[in-house]
Amino acid sequence: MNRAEILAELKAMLAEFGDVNPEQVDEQTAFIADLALDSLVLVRMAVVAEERFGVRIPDEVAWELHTVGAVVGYVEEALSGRIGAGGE
Amino acid sequence: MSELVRFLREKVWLLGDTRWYARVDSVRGELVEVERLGYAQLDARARAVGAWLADRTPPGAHVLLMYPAGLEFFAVFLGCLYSGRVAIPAPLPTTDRRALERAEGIIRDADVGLVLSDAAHQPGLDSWLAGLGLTLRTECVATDGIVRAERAERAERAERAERADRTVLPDPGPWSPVALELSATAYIQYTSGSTSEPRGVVITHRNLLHNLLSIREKLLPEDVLDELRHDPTQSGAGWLPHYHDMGLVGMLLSPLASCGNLVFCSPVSFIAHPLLWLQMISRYRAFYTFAPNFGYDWLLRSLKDGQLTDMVRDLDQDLNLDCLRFALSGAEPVRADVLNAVARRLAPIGFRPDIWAPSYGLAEATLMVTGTPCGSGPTVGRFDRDALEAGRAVPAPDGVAPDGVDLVGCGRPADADVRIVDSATSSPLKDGQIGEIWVRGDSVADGYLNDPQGTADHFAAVTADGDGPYLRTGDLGFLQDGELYVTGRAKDLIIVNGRNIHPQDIERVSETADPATGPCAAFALPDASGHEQIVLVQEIRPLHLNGRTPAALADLIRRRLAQELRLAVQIVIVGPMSVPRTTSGKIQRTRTRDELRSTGLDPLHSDLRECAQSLSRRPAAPATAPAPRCAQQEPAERG
Repeated sequence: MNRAEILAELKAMLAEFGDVNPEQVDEQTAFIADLALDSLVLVRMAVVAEERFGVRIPDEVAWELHTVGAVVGYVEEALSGRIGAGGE
Repeated sequence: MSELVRFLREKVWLLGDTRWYARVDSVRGELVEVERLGYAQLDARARAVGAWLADRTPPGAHVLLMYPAGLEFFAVFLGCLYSGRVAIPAPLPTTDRRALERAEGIIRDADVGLVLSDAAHQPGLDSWLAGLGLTLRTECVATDGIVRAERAERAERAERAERADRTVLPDPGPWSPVALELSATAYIQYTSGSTSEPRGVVITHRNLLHNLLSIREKLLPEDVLDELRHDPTQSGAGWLPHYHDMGLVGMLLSPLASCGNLVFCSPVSFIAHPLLWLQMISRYRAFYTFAPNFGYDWLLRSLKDGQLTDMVRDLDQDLNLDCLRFALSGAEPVRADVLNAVARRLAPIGFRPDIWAPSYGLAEATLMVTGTPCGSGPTVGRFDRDALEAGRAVPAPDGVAPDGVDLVGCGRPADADVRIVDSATSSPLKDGQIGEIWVRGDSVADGYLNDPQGTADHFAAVTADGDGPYLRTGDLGFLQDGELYVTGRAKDLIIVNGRNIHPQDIERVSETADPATGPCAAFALPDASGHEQIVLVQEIRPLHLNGRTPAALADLIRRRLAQELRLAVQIVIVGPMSVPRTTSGKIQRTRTRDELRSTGLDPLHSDLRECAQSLSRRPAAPATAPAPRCAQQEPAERG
């Protein structure tokens, strides 16, 4: 998955779970400060993101991922790290 | 052993492993059972832990339990009860980054010498503990490791009995629970005091035994209880966190007291996969379930149109809830619109509206104060809005009642003395008059740990005519025809999605966010659709703005609150000395909220889209989906 694909998937998740119009979202968008997502939506998104992207997002990491771009960057890195380590 | 422990273990002796606890999870949308223990297996594990604790810690030692959702927590909790060690359940830092901060506060407040967890979390917790700089080192031990090691050791001992030179954990075989008075402390339930001041309710064996019996008696009529005693298939289904009173007493301990089974999942599993709740009920043919209002609301929000039928078709599953005989809603204000909407939405798969069982309770009274029996259905009354705001409950005239407010009765007292009292004069009020809810009875705790002032303030209330002591709950409500209606909170506490948020915590973050932020007031304000939103009215120090706009400052505060507290807060920026204060200079949250609603407070910037007028309690138009943030669309700045 490349950066654009990760972003597209994340936007789709925001639409599905947060009722957010994907057109309002870019990499600078902050989940709570800009989109006012509540804690339940965030917990759900974090778990579903792990399942869909196939990466582990530890809680300590998840807390610091405030923006869409931060999540995309983390997932991209995690995916390439795993491939680099000969995972899949 | 104590009368409480005997009461619980009686069920183990009578029923053995014919009754069980099981935890499930969702894997690719499918329900999977991940662990199960029969009563007798649970008891054996609890005794192993009890024996280990008795060997390792002094009687009455305070033990912090930091576990993920699961049976290990429950076995260890029972082990503490058996051995007369005082369990203090606390959350792991999974969904709330402040959990560790709170746990540290608890360790200091309760003088905790030992933290128990599982093998997966022990290393992280132990290094966190090492970094706290406590005078006496508190260590973290993984109990799943102990029990396993002990089993291995026992096998080893049988083989090589001659090797007696190593420390061997006691064999729980001959060990039996210690004798304790009913006045002994059973556990300490920390309530969500503000992060800086954790508040531990000391629950005795008497409190817990009395509340378990009261819950059983209130919810289960004799014929239903008889069914439970004879039918090994009856189970409850839930997903509550075990470190809250409702999860610990209502979810985990109540089935043991009533001879039932329990199927449960972790709160995170439910939040991530809301349908898992319905799958649990359906698959295990659960006869009851329970949750705070927000849980039912979350289920509703997560079920997209048509999703229920789609899912049933896609998974080729037969989701059927007609097994449910009561659905308890408690621990939060019970909203009539949520009950109605959930019942409507789930009707096609067998949910009946007459199974709602609203209840009221709080940790200071162990758990339940009032409840609705299985089979009797909820009581919903329509009351006149103006009269309610004036402190009286007057039924709204039938038929056209646009100003009627539907209030859900929370049932009748569960062997507790419930009074409604004028909180200013301490005079008892008559039926239909709104006042503070006061409670007395054997379920009411003695007080808060190491907090004589808090204990005196909350647990020693006496009515003007000399009746007492009562627990002041801080909740407002009225009694009518024996039914308790809860109308609000006397305290400033903000409740969002089951999180109790202290306004002080929000205010502290904002006040320290920037040199330009002065005093402020945080409170909840319902938006036009009735959902609570959090509003912060923040005074500005203009000299420190350095050319920035009030909107930019609001943006900064909003981001800080999102990062520190994971809360979406609507910011209203006002000029210096605009937040109402008492004569002694203390900010007044309720007055700030009332003035914001009535006059709008003349803000320099406001995230709230509605103008002051439509913020007042009768919105001109029904709510459409509110935009998440309005400041960008409508900059409300002025020169």
